[in-house]
This record gives sequence, C-alpha cells and structure tokens, in this order.
Amino acid sequence: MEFEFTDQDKAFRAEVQAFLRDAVPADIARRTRSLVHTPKDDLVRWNRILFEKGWVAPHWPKAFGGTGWTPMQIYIFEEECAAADAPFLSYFGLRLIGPLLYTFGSEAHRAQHIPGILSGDVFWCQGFSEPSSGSDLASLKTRAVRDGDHWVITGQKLWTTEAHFADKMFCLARTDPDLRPQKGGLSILFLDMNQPGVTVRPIVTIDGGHSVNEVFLDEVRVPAGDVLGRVGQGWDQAKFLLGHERVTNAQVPRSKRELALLRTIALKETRGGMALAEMRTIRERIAEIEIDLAALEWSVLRELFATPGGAKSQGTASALKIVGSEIQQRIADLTADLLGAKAMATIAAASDRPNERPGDAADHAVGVVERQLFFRATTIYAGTNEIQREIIARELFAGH
Amino acid sequence: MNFALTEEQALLRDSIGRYLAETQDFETARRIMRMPNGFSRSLWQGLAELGLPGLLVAEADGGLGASLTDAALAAEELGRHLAAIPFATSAVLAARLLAAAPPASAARGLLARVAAGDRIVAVALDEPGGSTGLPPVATRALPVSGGYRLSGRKIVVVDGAIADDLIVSADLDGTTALFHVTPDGPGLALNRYATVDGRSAADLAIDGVVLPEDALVLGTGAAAALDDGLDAARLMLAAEALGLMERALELTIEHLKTRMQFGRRLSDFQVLTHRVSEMVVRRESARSILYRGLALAKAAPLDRGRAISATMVRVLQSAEFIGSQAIQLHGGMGMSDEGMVGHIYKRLRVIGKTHGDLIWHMDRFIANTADGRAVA
Repeated sequence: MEFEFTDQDKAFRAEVQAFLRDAVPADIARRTRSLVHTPKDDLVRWNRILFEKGWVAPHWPKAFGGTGWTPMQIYIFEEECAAADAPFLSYFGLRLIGPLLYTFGSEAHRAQHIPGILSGDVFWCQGFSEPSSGSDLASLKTRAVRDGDHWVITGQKLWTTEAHFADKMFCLARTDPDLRPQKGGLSILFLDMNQPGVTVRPIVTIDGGHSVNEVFLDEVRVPAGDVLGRVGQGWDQAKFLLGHERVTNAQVPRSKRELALLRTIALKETRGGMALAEMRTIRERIAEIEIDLAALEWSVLRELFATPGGAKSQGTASALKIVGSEIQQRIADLTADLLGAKAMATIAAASDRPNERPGDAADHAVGVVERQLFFRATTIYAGTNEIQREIIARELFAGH
Repeated sequence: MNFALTEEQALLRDSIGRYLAETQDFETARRIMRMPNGFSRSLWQGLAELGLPGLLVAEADGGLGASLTDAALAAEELGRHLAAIPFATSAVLAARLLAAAPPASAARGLLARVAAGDRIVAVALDEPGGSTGLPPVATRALPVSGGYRLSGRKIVVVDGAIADDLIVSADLDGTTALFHVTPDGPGLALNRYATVDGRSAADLAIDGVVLPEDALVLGTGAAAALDDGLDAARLMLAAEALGLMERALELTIEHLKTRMQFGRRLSDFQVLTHRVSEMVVRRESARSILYRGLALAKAAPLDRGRAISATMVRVLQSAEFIGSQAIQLHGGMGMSDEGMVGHIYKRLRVIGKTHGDLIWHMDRFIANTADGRAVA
C-alpha cells in the first residue's frame, strides 16, 4: 500500500479544470446549483459540449466511445465537473442502457443505438419498477407476448425517471410466463415512447417537482428483434446493472460540491448578528459530515484501485450506496436548517417568481428546501438502503 | 496510489499475525490480563524477535526503517489478537521522540535499545486538570549545577507501570522540554493501577528529582516532536482498533450463525443481520479514513493534525458502535468476562481515551479548519 497522488493525475486535473472554466455555460451552472430537477434542455446542451470534446462517456471502454482514462482520471473528471456546477448527464443512456448494449447487445443494436446515446440526440428511460414491484424485480408483472413478428407489451411502470424526456425505453418484461424471472422468464425490450399504447403520466414528488412518472403500456407492439441480447437474459442483465456502477451511487463529487456550497451559506446566514459558521453547533455538524464524506471518498478510492479482475463484492458497492445516500441527506438537511424559519417555504429564483420569497431569503437559498425534500429519495432509489443491508447480510451469512 | 500490499508488507503482516495466532489465543490473553500490570514480557520479547519494537526506527538507529503504513498492518494484527504490548507507547511515540534527539546523545543511545525491545519507554505528558500532553506544562525543570531538578505530577501514563524508562515533559525556561527519567530513582513515586482493558497505567509524583545534563532528550523542538509523535501513535492505535473491530465482527457473525433461539438460527432474523451489515458499513468507513490519515501523515502540521483527528473521530465512532453492538448481539454471553467481545470492547474504550478522545479530536479538527475552506 502506498498513498500518493501521481504528478500525471495532478496535471490531468489541471487540464480538466482549464477546459471546464469556459465550457460550462453560466446559466446552466446557476440552475445546477439551485434546481433539483435539471431541465432537459440543459442536459442536451451539456451533453453536446462534452460529446464534441470527446469526453461524454469516460467510463465506457474506448472502443465504444470512452476516453481510455484510468479510474482515477475518471474520478477526477467527475469531481471537477461537479465542482464547476456542470449538470450530471442523463443517467439512463450513458450509465445504464449504453453499458448494457456494449456488454450484451448485438452488433446491429450497438450500431443503431449507441451513436444517439453519445451525442445526446436520443434520450432513454428505464422501465423496471412497477406498482407491485419496487426493489423486488422477481415479482414483475409487465408481459410481452409474441404475436407473429412482434412482441406485444402490456403493463404499468412506476417511478420512471425522465420518461417525459425520453425518446426510448428499455423495458423489463416477462417474455415467458412459465419460467421464473430468475430462470429465463425476463427480457429487456426496446420501445419508442411516442408509439401507440404508451401513456406517460407525471408524478409530482413531495418537493413539488417533476422527474418521475407512471408509464402505461397498453398492447405496445415492438419488432421481435428489439430485445437486448437473447430472450430470457433479462434477470442477468438487471443484475449486471446492480454491480456495474459500483461507485457512482456514493455521489462523492456532488456531495463535496454541496458541502462547499453549504459552507458558503453558513458564512452568509446569521442569527443574532453572528454568522452561523461561527456557531459551535453548526461547525460541529459540518465537521461530522465532512469527516464521514472524507471516509467515503477513500472508500471510493479503495474501490477504484481494487485489483482489476479481482473478486468484486456486491456488499462493498452496497456499503458505498448506503453511506453516500445518507451523507447526501445530511448535507441537504443541514443546508435547509441553516435557513431557519425561512425553510418553511420553498424559495424560487427571483427572476421566476419575484413576489414569493420569504423574508430576506438570498439567492443561495433557492432550491434548498426542495432539495431537502427530494433527497428523502436517495435512501430509496437505486435499491433502498434496507435492500442494500440485506445484500451485505446475505454475503456475510452465505450458506446459512 | 495503490491499495494492494507489497510483498514485504504481506510478509510483515503474516509474520506478526502467524506468531500471534500460534501463541496468543484468547485464553492466553486473559491469563496475561491477570499477570502483574497485565503484561507478559515473553510475548513482548517474542514480538521483538520479529522486529516489532524497531519497526519505525531508522536502520541507522538499529531499527527496520518501515513506514507508518507498514506499521499499521502490524498494529492491526495486535488488535485482532488482543495483544497487550506497549507498541504505540514505546515503539512509536517514545521511539519518535528519542529519534528527534541530537545525534550521539544519551537519548539516541537509548533508542537502539528501544528498537531491540530491551527497554520499554513510557511517555508522561498528561497532568491533573490538563489534557493530552500539549503545552502549557505545569511540571517544572529547574537548571541546577550539573543538570536539572524536576518537580510536578503526571497522570494516566499509559504503560507507565511496566516501563523501564520514562520520558517526562516539563517546562524549562518557558518552553516545553522532554527529560529521560528512570522510574526507580529517588524523589519519584509511582502509583500503578489497572486500566479496564486489563493493562495498566501509572501516576507520577515527581518531587525534586535531580537529573544529569544528558537526561535532556529534547529542548527546542520538543513541542513539534510531541505533536508528530502523538499523531503517529494515534494512527497506530486507530489501526489496532480496526483489528479489534474486525475480530468483533467475526465473532458476532459466527455467533449469529450458530446460536439457536425459537428453533431458528439467529442469522435468520433480519433485525440482527441488518445490524451486522451496519457494523460492516462503519468498519469500512473506519478503514478508509485510516488509509487517508496514513496518506496525510507527512502533510504540514496543521493539515496533518486535521486529517489525523478526522481519522480518530471516525474510527472511535465506528469502534464504539461495533464494540457495543457486538456485545448486544451476543446477548447475555456478551456481558460475560469469559467472552472475548467484552474484552475487545474494553480495549476499544481505552484506545478511545488514549492521547486524545472524541471530544479532543473533534475540537482539534474544527480548530484546524479555516472558514469557507473546501473539503480536503
């Protein structure tokens, strides 16, 4: 073991910083700081900028459009993007279906879908969760029935993030009702969101915002060939996703940025004439979070530098998700607490709704309350933290 | 950056681990706790033959010249096996202080014997009403003809009851200095007592102890050397705590797998297994922040102190949770003196009070944090 950052890494960080200084449009940066739900237009613009630079998919293999960077360089890049208030690019194309395509997809499907994912011209959503099937994918009800040269898909998807942005869905469905989902009964199918039978209904979350949806699939017909990989591979493909983004769910780059913003708010907000940053209780709460975030960052580094090809424990990824999501909540909670009574109301950007600001709420307060509310979801999505603890426990007590 | 062990590191860890596995089962550890001052010189000598006391000492001074990261691997094994030896005290803190003494001084001569394990040196810093060994120091050293006269009181000197030699901090003309004192000389009274981990500590009443000139280990620079030596010792205690946590988890998992209640194994109860998952999550945080502390051990003093206090806060919080939950999940068996988890917990408690506790480390972390400074 030896814990030094290399000179190459330092030089790389400087290169990324130099690019980002001019590359992130100011209006996008402002919205990234304050909005919980990034507008599609911001995602499209930032995706295009990175695509043209060749940096849109650093975590992909070079042959499919990746950058060939080391895990450390990818981490540095993501950290600097977060620090520059660049939006986190749409997850479902670049992080989920893209890797699924280059891992399981046919040559034809790769050629058909990957270019649009990289350029950002085609947005995807993930049709996995259902009303009676949240973390428990084995209970999936959506059916795909063969009818000649087509699959006919019927069912209901829930919590489908960005379905209202998406051009396409990769949809997990039961393609063989006689087989158990784990034993070949599930497949992932591609469908167009604007085709007959697809209905998207927005779900407004407790923060008052909209990024998740209900999607109704009523006899949606897709060509027989629009199945990812082989029919019946759906369970393995879903499990692949579970282990693929091992460190992303830790959300360290974003939490570091949000903690830095929290510090600036603590310097500006006052109580009784005293900056909150001077108050012992506040300093201690910030310190507790900072220390746990530093530990989490080193857990991520340990994972990034784990022996390539070595055994990957699913429990390790689960531990990263548990701590990362809890820290996101703690930062959002404390940031809202700094606003005191003003946090009873949501605070919109002045240009949007000039008359609805409580008291002397400053620009740094915009979106803070919404974030605190929406971040209740961090311990629920991507596998609830209870499911993550169960994954760890099953590894520990395997065979019992 | 590289988290894989080098061949030398694996060899070091395995040689210490194997020796302890062969000689130090839990019953042996318990027997040692009942020996005078909770100390077995034969265990110490066995580990000395493997080079443990000289691990961090430079080769020129008779040691192995290993890094703190190397030494942390050894310390983790000490924790895992509940080995009651004065590693952090003599081989780390005292050795670093002696190494800071001028070349060819008497102190440097003592260092070679410390590295060989022939002498155990404890460091007396804390005083009544004071904390954690940093200036100001009420114990006074007066220059007298041919040397110094030392007077004051020291409390909770870790391993002070078993030490062959003492290093004592004292105020000398307004600055902190360090003196070499032998525990059996005139004017010095030791009050030895047991600590809850089965080891021992001592209070010192120093009443006009006359010291020769060459008893001065460090004058100028003593405060900085103490700062550095204490931080190194803290990292080793953190590594030992990690080994203790690992062992507590192994024992708890084994217990849940084998213990039957209501006709089922305890591992069939999610409320119990999820608690263990949480223990694992916090152990991982502790390991990660230990590595971070080791990485920043050579940073400038302010950053180093901040990083190592961050390490201690996280490690001590994890230690309290894992230690107490290991007892809880063992049920009544966890409360028995005949079980290992209770002893692990007590050792973790003592580590949490050695060279700064949670409060002290949180205070230092905050004091060393500039406002508005980005997270390091």
